[in-house]
Amino acid sequence: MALLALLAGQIAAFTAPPDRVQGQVQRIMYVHVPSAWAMYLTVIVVGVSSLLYLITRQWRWDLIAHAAGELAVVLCGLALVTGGIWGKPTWGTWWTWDARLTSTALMFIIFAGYLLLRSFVEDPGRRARLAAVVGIIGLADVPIIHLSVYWWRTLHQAPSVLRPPVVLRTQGPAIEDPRMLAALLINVAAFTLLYFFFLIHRVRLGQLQGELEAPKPEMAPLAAGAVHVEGGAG
Amino acid sequence: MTHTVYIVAAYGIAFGVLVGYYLSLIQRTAEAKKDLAARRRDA
Repeated sequence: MALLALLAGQIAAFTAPPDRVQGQVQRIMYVHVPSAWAMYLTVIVVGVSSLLYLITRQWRWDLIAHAAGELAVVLCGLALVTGGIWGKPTWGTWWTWDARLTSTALMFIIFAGYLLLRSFVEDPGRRARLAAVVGIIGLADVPIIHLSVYWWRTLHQAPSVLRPPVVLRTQGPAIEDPRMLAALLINVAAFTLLYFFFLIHRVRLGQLQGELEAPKPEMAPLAAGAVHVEGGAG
Repeated sequence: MTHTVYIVAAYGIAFGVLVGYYLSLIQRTAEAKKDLAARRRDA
């Protein structure tokens, strides 16, 4: 289903009219914006799962947070790279220390650190607890990234779809052509489906790895509702 | 012409990374299943 949506998205992206100002290169938007959207989504999943882990101490939340954290690095990297490729022909530079770009780069660093932290700390309880704190810090960066274009004078344009209500009322929709908007929304939906497909697969992998880490099969940390015991393996 | 290069690069990298990530998931899952099966056999 995700593949079909992705295929439909690409057909829509390449049949939509080119931008009046940017021309054909604007088509990069159909892969850049969905990547950034999926990045927001996965960071929200990390943050909420981390918070739920800290409250309930159930392994399943740590497992989901870890899976989503790995995807955060992939999707954030993708948003940064596709943004840089789009920036060169439109802004004349691959990179600039713009508030939106810098806060997104910070997000990438936070989640790269998140994965490093998980690989360095051996005690599962400590690892999950520390990672949850970093995951919540990462979540706090989402509104900063999204609203940075309003808070600071930036080169990056304002959001095309998810505009704050006050801006929407004063400026109207960012994309006027309905074919361009439809192509963008189809790609956003396709990336959302693909994201959940990857997340489910990554959680399954985490379950298998958890079973390998557990000293005894009955102590596997992934049994539904398993509650973590501090300092133990699950 | 120049813009085509940017479009191809952006789409190529994006879909390359997504396919690569999926392949890495398949490979890591297969390895974990193999290790788990070996562990159960040894137990």
